[in-house]
Amino acid sequence: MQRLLVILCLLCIPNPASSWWLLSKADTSSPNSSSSPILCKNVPGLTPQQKRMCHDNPNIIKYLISGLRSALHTCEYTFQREAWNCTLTLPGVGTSPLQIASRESAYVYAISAAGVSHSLARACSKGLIDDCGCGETPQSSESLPIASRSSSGSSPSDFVWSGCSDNVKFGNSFGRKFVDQYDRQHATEPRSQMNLHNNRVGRRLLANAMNRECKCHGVSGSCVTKTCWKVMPKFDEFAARLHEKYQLAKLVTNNDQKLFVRSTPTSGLSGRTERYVKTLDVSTSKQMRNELIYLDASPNYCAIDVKDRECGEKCANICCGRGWRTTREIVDEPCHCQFVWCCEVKCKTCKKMVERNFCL
Amino acid sequence: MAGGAVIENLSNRKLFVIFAGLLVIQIMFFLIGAWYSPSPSSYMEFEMITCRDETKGLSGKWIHRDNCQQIGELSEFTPSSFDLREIVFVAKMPHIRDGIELEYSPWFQFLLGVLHVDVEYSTHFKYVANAQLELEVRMGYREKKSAKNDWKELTTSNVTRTLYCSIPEDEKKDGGTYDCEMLDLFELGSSSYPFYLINIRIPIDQQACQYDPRSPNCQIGKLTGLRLIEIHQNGGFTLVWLWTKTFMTPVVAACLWWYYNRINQLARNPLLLERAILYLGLSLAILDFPIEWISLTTHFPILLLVSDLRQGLFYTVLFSFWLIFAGEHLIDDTTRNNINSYRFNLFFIITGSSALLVYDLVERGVQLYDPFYSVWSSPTGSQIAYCAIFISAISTVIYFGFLLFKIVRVWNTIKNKRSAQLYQTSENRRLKVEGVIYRFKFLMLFTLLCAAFTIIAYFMKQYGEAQLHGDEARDGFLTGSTSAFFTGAFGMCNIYVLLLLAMYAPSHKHYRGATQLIDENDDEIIDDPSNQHTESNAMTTFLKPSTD
Repeated sequence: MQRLLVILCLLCIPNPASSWWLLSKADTSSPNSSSSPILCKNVPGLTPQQKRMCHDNPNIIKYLISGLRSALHTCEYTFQREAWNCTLTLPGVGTSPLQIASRESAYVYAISAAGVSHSLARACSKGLIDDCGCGETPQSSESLPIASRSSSGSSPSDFVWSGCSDNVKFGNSFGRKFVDQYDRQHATEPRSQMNLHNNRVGRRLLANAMNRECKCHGVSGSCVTKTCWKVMPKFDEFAARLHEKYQLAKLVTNNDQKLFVRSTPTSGLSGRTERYVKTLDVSTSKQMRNELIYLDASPNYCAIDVKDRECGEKCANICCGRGWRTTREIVDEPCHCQFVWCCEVKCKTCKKMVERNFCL
Repeated sequence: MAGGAVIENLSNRKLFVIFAGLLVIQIMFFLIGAWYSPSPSSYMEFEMITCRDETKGLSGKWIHRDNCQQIGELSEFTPSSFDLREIVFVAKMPHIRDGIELEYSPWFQFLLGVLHVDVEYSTHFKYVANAQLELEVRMGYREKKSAKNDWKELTTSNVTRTLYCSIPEDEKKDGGTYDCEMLDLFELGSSSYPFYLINIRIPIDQQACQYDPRSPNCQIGKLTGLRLIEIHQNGGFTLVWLWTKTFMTPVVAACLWWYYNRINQLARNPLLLERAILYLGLSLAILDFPIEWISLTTHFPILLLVSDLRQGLFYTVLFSFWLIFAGEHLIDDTTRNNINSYRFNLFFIITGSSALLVYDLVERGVQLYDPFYSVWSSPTGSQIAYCAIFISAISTVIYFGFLLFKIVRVWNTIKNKRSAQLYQTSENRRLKVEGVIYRFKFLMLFTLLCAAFTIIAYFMKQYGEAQLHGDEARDGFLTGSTSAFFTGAFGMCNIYVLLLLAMYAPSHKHYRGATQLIDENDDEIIDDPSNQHTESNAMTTFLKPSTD
């Protein structure tokens, strides 16, 4: 009953926790950065700190928004064949799915946190953001004769001493500052704790999904000396991993401002083991560091109006047993194209018949 | 050197003190690398930005971040021409970080670039295995004082590489990505300029493609981007490395001078083995000489080649030395002390090292003129490279086979001598043969010890690297182990040779003014009772269990 009240409450006031999503709808088509401060003002519900960050770093926000967009786009692509198709505003349920602390929420928070990190890291490796850092340099020396040459701060001498290889940490830390802003202010609330955890999981999974590649450059190219680096995975690959985590998301309960998960005993041969069910503190447990968590069950997505939704091959699932219709359309398609390594050139237009399925 | 090296006349106590001292120095070498030095090299990743250039590069204008008309998605771009020279891939090295424009420093010693080609699977754009990729690369540099985008030409080159890509079956759908081998792009033997700019174009000749699909760039599939990885030696490592060398050079030089005087003071001509040790010391001195200091002030790209050559020289001399050392301890062999008797075995060392020399001269030598050259890029070039490496590998295997054979023979001779006890009849002769055995065993043990240390250090390095790049990078116990391996191995090399110089120099305690002692039958050895009886002698202790 209490929860219902909370949800009702959330309905009446615009919830700032999720309003930074609206940035993804913001118009970034004008390329000059001077319009970006205005862009931040137009998004309702950003916290004052977020607005300030947005205003101070228009160039970074541009990549943050594009990361957010590609995250939501990937989400829609991943869920296009499931009942919930990653829509963030559902007319039928009565509230945005994000306001229900469901596993879908968990997924969306995780993928967008990771999407922001991914986009910022790529912009860093493209050299488009001047504020990217080097990450921590494990050993830097102050008593360095090389350093005395340059007087402009510590960073260049650290670069000469031990290099500057990192692209990911800046994305993570900026993303954390911006995305987690609201939830960190409300860190005592279970929903904020859940969001923070899922954001962290998204970023950590992204960092763990990086591949390692090496180059040998010793004497005559031998492997005595070898340098290795990490390669950012393609976002689609990461999204596929996260989808597995979505299916394995853990239900948690709130107790005394802490989240606990019931660890299901793996050796469940007899009924006895149920007595020994342990509860794990989410914030300290090592097992939970890479798991998505949620507080509430998902709403019934079949309750929403699926009429006229395109359902492709999996209509039985998506249309919730209401049946579907098939239409045939004639569409124009480019054909007889010549392809060169980047793009297609010189195409003709052909007409083609396609079949499309829609829910009734 | 048939008798009377320093090693035979050292007391146990002195030997122990020397060994303990050397161990401490060795540990210091390790610790310098582990604690003070950063990892030997680091990288910077550049995802190249794609820009549009209407002039197609004919104007000679440099494309950089500030004048780039950026293309967001390559696949959505509609080119206005067929040769695609209007698409430019741009990277400026190094990045700006924390708002500060970083600069490359001469301390980096070398810069090398590796190129990653991202190819997407597409049903329309077919990637054909081993497709030829041709890049028009322009590399520019900028001085520190010049204006912000005042780039000057460093090199222009047409680079042809073969693109080796693979894709798992289940990825074969639109949007799936190929896994492509990285390509060597460039190698600069010195890092003399603070900033570099790279412009890459991938031209296509569609008529040539229709005429011959194997023409460059026709079958490279759907290219979505280029990533450049730049690798350099860390300045901190260079500093530590250079100071270690600078510190070691006078020590080695002094030791070498002492040894040289010692063998020249003898009334006889130096033996082959003595000369071999001298040359070993000389090649170490050459290896140690800190010539790299020059590169910090002047443009000196030949250094990468020079340092390869120095290492090659050292290993050639070391391998030859082992061979000669084992051969000279074959007590009954009458052909000793003559370099000609080793020519068959030395031939393999010379073949192996000259094959590698040819490879190195071709690869790094040509790179002096064209940093984008790679011997592996052309079929003939890679055949030559494979040939050279194959020949040297075969030679090395044969060499070690011979060496093992020699060592086994020496062991057998020693055993036979012992069991026959023939030499026991003459006290002087016995002492002399024991001396030979002792010297041999000492070096064997010491060499094995050094080899074991090096191997352990190597595995520690591998383990440390794995830990550093594990699931969650943290500063583990062994993360500084890569540098520690290099400084440690360098220290080991020096200690090994210095100890040889010191221990196997002719001792002047007995033999000052002695004539040539190569003949086993001459009984000139006069035992010095004062030395034998005041302190227990390492040699006698060492041999005791077997002679009792």
